[in-house]
Amino acid sequence: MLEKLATLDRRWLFLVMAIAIIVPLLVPVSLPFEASPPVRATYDAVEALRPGQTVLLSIDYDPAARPEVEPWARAVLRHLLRRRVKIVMMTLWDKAPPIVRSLINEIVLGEYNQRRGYFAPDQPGGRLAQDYAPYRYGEDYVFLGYKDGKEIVIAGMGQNLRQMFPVAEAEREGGDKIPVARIPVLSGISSLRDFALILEASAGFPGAKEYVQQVVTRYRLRFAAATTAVSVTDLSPYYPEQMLGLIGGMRGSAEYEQLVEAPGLGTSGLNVLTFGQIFVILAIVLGNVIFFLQRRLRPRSSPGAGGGVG
Amino acid sequence: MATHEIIGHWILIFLTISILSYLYADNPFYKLAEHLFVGTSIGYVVVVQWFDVIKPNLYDRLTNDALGPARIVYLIPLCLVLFLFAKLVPRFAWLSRISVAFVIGFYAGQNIPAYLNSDLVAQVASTLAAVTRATKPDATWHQMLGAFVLVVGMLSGLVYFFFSRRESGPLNAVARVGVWVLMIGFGASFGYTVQGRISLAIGRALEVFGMNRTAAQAEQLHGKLVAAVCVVVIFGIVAFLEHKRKLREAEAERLAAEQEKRENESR
Repeated sequence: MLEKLATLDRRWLFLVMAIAIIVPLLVPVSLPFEASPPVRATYDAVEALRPGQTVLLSIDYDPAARPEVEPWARAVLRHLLRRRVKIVMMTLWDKAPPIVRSLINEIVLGEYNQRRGYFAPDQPGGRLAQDYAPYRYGEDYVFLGYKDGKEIVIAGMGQNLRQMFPVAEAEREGGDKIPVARIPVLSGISSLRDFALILEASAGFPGAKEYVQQVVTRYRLRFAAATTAVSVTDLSPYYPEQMLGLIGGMRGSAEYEQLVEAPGLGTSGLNVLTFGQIFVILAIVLGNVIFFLQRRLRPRSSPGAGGGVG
Repeated sequence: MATHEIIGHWILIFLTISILSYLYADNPFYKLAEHLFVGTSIGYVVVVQWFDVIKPNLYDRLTNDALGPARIVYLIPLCLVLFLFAKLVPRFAWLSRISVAFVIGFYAGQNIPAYLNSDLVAQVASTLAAVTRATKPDATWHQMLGAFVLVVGMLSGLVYFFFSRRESGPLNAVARVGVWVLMIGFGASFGYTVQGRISLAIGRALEVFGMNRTAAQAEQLHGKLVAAVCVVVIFGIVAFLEHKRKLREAEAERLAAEQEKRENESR
């Protein structure tokens, strides 16, 4: 029995993991959770913004990282719209521009400007939105586009934003790019120091670590980021002295969704995540128990019989 | 929903299940999905790099008459790029070192002060700030405990990497504490990595089942049904191919054994 378990085909584990994910998805279970201090700190920083202040939202992830950081990107965009702040969006990832476009189309144009979904009059966004008026491209929000150059671009934006982004994307995809000098939302913004807050959805390099290293520490900027779970231990030392807040993976995204009262993919994924993690913990415990039992039951070689050292 | 969106979603389901079929065994469905992924990724990146990087930063500037003779300066980055490709010609491979040296020098100059500032100076300041907070009269017990763990963990971790210490003595005992601190750190990293990977699997499942869309859209997509059909068809074919492969291997082994037996008998 023990031998059989020790040499169990790993495909059985894959199958059980698939079941542990699919069953809670099909039969939803709602488990309670609370926002952790780094997530709450980010929420408080956004909540403290005054209408009309300008915020930079850097969307630095690709489709592979969507399940972890996109729920936060959606929630924080809704939160920023609710606070009626001006939003400057950009990306340092070449696969991100279509993601930014879809965020703008779905949330800014589809929800906020149409007063639908989260911003419907009877929904939390609709009730809490300040000074409601449709967001206009160039005046209330803008997408600067994608810029290659990784941390060099971040360092450059710390000195001169317009040199790094001389033109911004057009309102409609494929339209002529607009010189930033003609964009009202950027009047009075010459570098990263002029933003009231910098927020980033980060899935790796270049991401939150590069922002902290290149500009945040140097210029003492107000900066918070959502990252993939795998990056959390790397970035934790920066909180709270260098980063205002830190949202880690799907769990952090779900906590933020809870704070802005916009339960979405993060919240529905978090319950499933719990079952997946319980299975992994059980598998690790079982594997260790089998390992130590086998070691104990293995016949000991008599002294002098073997020539080994241990 | 438009028909092309529904068909697109079904292709998404087929490709997702094809990629996951690798967990059972390597197979043609996985290879098809893998090659499609690599091809489309490279195609996308090439187009983006041309239109968002090379064209605006180099081509448009070199061909812009308004810049006058000054635009000749953009030939320098062009040469540096071309030098990198010189590595393909052994006779001129040395030229690539100029470009590599430029890149390394530039990045070192940019990053070394940034690392020192954010990861050393600012981190020491953060540690001291935590200790200062914990020693104030109004400090809470968890601030004090946190500062204690922070300082002890940091110092013992550093002592572990002090390799010229003796294998016995007080420093060794501190280093053993450091090992425990490092192990807890690695454990936390592993836990977060597992969390991240499960999140990705959940993300795929949500997308396959259409749960990231509205209820009306999800109903039109029939994600669960299409996924079930794909699982049955793909895994059925893969299991059949795997079975045939094992039969072939067994047959080859049997023939080899018979051959060996005949050779032994003939001797």
